[in-house]
Amino acid sequence: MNLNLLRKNTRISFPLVRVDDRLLHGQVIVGWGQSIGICPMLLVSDRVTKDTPLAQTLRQIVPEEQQGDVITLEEAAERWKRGDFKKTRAMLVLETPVDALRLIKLGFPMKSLTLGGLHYREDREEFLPYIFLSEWDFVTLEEIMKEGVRVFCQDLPATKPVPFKGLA
Amino acid sequence: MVRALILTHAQLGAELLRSVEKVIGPQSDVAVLSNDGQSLEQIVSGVESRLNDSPSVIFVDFCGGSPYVACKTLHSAHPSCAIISGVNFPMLISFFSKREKLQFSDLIEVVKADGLRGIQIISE
Repeated sequence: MNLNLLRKNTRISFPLVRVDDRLLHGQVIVGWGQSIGICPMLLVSDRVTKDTPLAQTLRQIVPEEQQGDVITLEEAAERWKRGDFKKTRAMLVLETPVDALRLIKLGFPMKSLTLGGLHYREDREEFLPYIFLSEWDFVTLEEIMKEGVRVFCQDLPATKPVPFKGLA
Repeated sequence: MVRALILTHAQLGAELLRSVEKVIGPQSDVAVLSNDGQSLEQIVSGVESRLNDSPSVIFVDFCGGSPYVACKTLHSAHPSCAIISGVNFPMLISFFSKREKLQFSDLIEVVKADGLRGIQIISE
């Protein structure tokens, strides 16, 4: 992928906030991290923070230059308030739409939210091949939009973002 | 017999096995899994359902992908399995031809070495 072309043609505002139930993985670390130059790469999840072996694995797989970490929602909001994300190319990955709403309620001012991967489950309906949503996810995303957040679906930088509004 | 599980993105694992079998014939005690359309949790339970107490080697495509993360989180509960990332053709040929001849600990080292030895550059 031509990095300069990508940077010229798309205006990306940081920090990027993504919902992905694969957490930190190939698409995120290689697909986004390496092509856009993400730093820091943060998994923001109270659940995973408590799951020490998983959190440790996720910290290990992120290349050093991306400064990977696993932090709680509160910590992410704190870092925002301290101004830690100013002038960074940060990406925050959340496991669920509910976590995104909780992060907003904690005072994290989100401009847009990318749905990067929510995979099939029995209670979820297909919206895109990589986006399946439960009724609860749906209601939560509506709530997030009411907070003034633009919600898009996009798995990789090279694919076109699809506005969530048009899908329902 | 040491069992093999090949876990990759898309159909890489299935096609790798199909290609290897073209060279050394049909293999038993091997399963193939893809992460297509699955969350991390679903990949973990898919792998878990295919593991038992017998020694097995899980081949995953690359260090950092969801197949790798899924297997690594399972590893402590299944000490009889080894995970090798960066699966390639020579590695699998080596594994299937040597799994009955070597001790498990030697086998995984030899398989890795053969995988590396299979990478050669032809250049000016």
